[in-house]
Parts: sequence; structure tokens; C-alpha cells
Amino acid sequence: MTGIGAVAAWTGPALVVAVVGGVMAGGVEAPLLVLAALAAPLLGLLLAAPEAGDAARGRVALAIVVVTAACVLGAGFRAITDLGRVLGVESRATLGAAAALVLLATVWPGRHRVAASALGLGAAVLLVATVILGVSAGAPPWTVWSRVASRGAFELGSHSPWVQEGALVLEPTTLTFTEPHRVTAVTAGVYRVAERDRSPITLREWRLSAGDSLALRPGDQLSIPVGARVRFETGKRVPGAPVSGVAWADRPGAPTAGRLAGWLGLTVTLTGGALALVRPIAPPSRASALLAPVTVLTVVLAAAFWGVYAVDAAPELSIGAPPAASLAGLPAAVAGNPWRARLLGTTVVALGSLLVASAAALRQRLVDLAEIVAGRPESWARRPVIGIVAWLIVVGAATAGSTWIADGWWLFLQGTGLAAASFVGPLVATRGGAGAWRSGMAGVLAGAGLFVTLAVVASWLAPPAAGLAGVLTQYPALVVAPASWLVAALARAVGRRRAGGSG
Amino acid sequence: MLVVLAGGAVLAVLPSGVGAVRVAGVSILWWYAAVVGPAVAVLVTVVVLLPLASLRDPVASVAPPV
Repeated sequence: MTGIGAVAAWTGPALVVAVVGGVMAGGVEAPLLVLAALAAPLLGLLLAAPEAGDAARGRVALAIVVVTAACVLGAGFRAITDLGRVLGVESRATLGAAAALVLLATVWPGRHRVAASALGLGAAVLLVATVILGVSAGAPPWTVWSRVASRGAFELGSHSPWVQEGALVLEPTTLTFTEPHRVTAVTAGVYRVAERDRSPITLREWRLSAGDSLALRPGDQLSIPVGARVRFETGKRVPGAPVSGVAWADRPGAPTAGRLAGWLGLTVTLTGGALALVRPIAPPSRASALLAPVTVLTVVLAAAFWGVYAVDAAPELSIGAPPAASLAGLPAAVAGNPWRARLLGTTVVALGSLLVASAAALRQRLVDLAEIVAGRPESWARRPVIGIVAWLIVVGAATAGSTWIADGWWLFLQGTGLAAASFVGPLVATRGGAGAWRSGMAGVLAGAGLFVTLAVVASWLAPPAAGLAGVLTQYPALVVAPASWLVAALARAVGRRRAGGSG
Repeated sequence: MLVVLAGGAVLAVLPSGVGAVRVAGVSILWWYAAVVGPAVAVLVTVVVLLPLASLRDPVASVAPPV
């Protein structure tokens, strides 16, 4: 795939949800995420196609890209499932519908057209939805950003769902209160309060019936069970939100070294993913050369602006709910009917289209690579059943992954991280030359093996470690990519020495 | 493109919170990450890809990602 559809693999719903969630969370990490999400695929587009290597290297590369594709598709499924969950649709029904839609759209030939059309539709609808938000807010995103950054505190408005029908908690949630707050249980349940104003910390469990209230003091932590609905007080600070607009806009989050390591880890990870999924395999057409970068720009910036509007209108949306709640819940917070329903409809269409576009582009990517490995163009077109069965396995793995793993963005980063760990180091060490395939292969195998090992070890270190260790847990490619570069460079040096000795 | 990416990181770690200085109400870091950086990145991509597009060969050989 060389056209506009090539970037569709990147701009799936997982990326949109992650950018919206990142902007809502704020801090200096938010703009860096926006920039990395946008620049990584463009960097992938700029890399020239390397000379063809041998079949063994191609098979290893194909196997790694298959895993990356399954992770990225699984992250997309997770984003759509979360969206459905927030809207009250049963998770299995949403996932089944999404998987069926993906299979229906990608199982036939003509995936180039499907990816390009669905990406165009998704990007356009997402842009329209963001413009509607801007009209509702009565201000462009930069004015709203300035307004949010000057807020003294994020407080619960009288129209917030949290103070009206109550907040429905969809994920295990612990809220820390910074001021006295009376919380009312709308549904019966057991609520745990950690009172931190005395030493040792006192833990109390309260069995509340519907309508019962809890008086919480500054410093108290309230743990709310999944499925419970609780009502908060109007005019009080949103528990769990940044303490002020300045904190949201400029909070450093970590010391300088940690910030740099986090940025580098994110950049290496996303660039490696783009290398596997977006790197062109042939020169683009003139229209694609123009439209592909502009479409990436549209999707990423629309998501970033959505996040800014969301934190202004309803900062509580992302608390106690999956990140997709920021997309599903915002229409209700900013618009009344009929615009609420229309805005929600455009959101669903946008994310659904981006999922289809991403899946079509991923499948075409795998077909292209498989044909390269086979050494015969159109070889998969002559064996459609094998191709369909292989794709069914990838979609099945993605579906299973999205069911088991609650954090779609984590799944996305694991897939792109594997690609980064395997491909970035050898690419730099061998400069993509086909003559250095043996050293490149050594680097790829070392990178993939180390990444999997580190990822397994990191999964044992729950909860995630803080500081530099936390960054390495989140982005193992940060250390594995240099290691795979070292292996490839050493292998190349040994190979040259042997060649020199024998010559 | 790597320079564009690095520019954001430099602004984020500059001493005295230079990246947090407001210009027209928005921090310099955000102006860079949402306007300047993306504009430069897209421009560079288009400028590099357009000449390649004129050399396009529909049956060009293709290769794996590394």
C-alpha cells in the first residue's frame, strides 16, 4: 500500500482516544504526545524503501509486523468496545459488531480503496464533530486552551452528570479529596474510605444504600466499586483532576531526566511502529504525497482540540471511566438534543470509519509483505483462501487481546514497541543495505527476543515502578533498540573482518 | 523530522519554564507542538514526497521493513 491508505493503519481509534486522553490529563507530556503521534508516521513516510533482502529475513520481519498489526488492531477494538461500554452497550456485543464490520470490509479485494475512503470519511467526520464542539463552546481551541490554563480550579458545574444523575464508575477508582465533600450513593454498595488525616491511616468500609451519604474530609481517599453510581456536590473541586489550570497546562510531571527519557521512549516506540506500518513500499502518487500528511495532521489535531474542549466543558469525564468516555460523554455535556444525538452519531461514525480504515490498511500491509517474502507479486491474490484464513487468525488474536487487556493504548505501545526494538537498531546499524542482511537479521532477532523478555518482566512489576524504571517499564524499546543496534553493528563488523580475512 | 521532534523535548526541559511562557494566551510549548511543529513536519514531508511521486513506477520492487 503506497497511497493515502498507508497512513490509515496509524490513525485508528486507539490513537484518537489516546491523544484525547493525553490532552485531558495535561502536563508537558500532552503536547509532546501530540507532536510524536503526528511526526512518527510522517517520518515513516519519508524513509525510502530498502533494497530487497533474503526470504529468511523477510519471514522474520513479516512475523514481527503480524504481531504489531494484531496489537494495533486490538487496541482499536478496545477503543471501540470502551466507547460502547460508556454508551451502555454490552462489551461483547460491541466487540462482535466491530470484528464483523472489520471482516466484512477487509475480506474482499480493493482494500486500497476501502482504507482511503474510510480514512477520508473518518477524518472529515471527526473534524466536523470538533468544529461543532467549537461552535458549542463559542471559541476556537486556542482561546479555550487559554481559558482552561487560567482556571483557579476544576469545579463541578450544575449541569455535570456527576451532580445530577451521578457518576457511573466503569473502572476500579480511588479518588483523593482536597476539600470537604459530601458524596451520595445512588446505587447500593460497599465503599472504602482511607482516612489520611491521622497516623496510622484508618481504613473504613461503608455499606451504603441508595440515598445514603458519606462526609469526606481533605486527604480522604474514596474507593468506589465498579458499576456503582455516586453523586457529588455542585461547586466542589473535581476529585482526581489537576489542582488548577496552570497545573494542567504546565505540570512537569517528572524531573528533567525522567521527562527526557519518557519523550525518547515514546518517540522511539512510535517511530518503530511507523517504520513497520507506514513506511512506503513504493513511491507514492502525487495526490498521496499531499493528502497522506494532511490527513494525519487533521486526525491528530482534531483529537487534540477535542481533548481541549473536553477538559474545558467536563474535566470529570476521564475519571473513573475508560479514556473513550472523553469522546462518548462530551456531547451530553456541551449540547442539548437534537445536537447531542447528532454529535454522538458523528463520533461513532468517525471512530468506526477509522477502525475500518486501519484494519484495511493493516491487512494490505501484511499482504504486501507476504508477497515480498514469496517473491511473486499477486501471489496472495491467487490463493485467497490462505490469505483469508491468515487474516481471520490476526483478527481473532486482536479480538482476544482487546478482551484480556483493559488498556488499549498499552496494547498499541507493545505492538509498536516490538517493531521499534526489532527494526530501528538494525536499520541504523546497516543503513538498510541488503548486503548487510546477516547482521541486520542478528539485530532483529536480538531486539525481538530482548523486548519480549523485558515486557514479560515488566508485567511482573505491577504496579508500574516510578521514575526512570517506570519509563523503561512503559517503553522497553528505549533500551532494546540500542541493544539491537549494538548486536547488528557487531555482527556487521565481524562479517567484514571475516570477508577481509578470506579475501 | 527528528529535529522537529527534538524541538518539543527541548522546549519541555528548558530552564525557567521557557516552554510555559504564554504567547497570545497559549504556552510556547503548545504553539510549537500543535502549530509550528506539525506545519513544518507536513511541509517537509510534502516537499520530499512530491519529487518522488514524479518518479513513480507502478511495478517498482518492494522490500521488507528492514
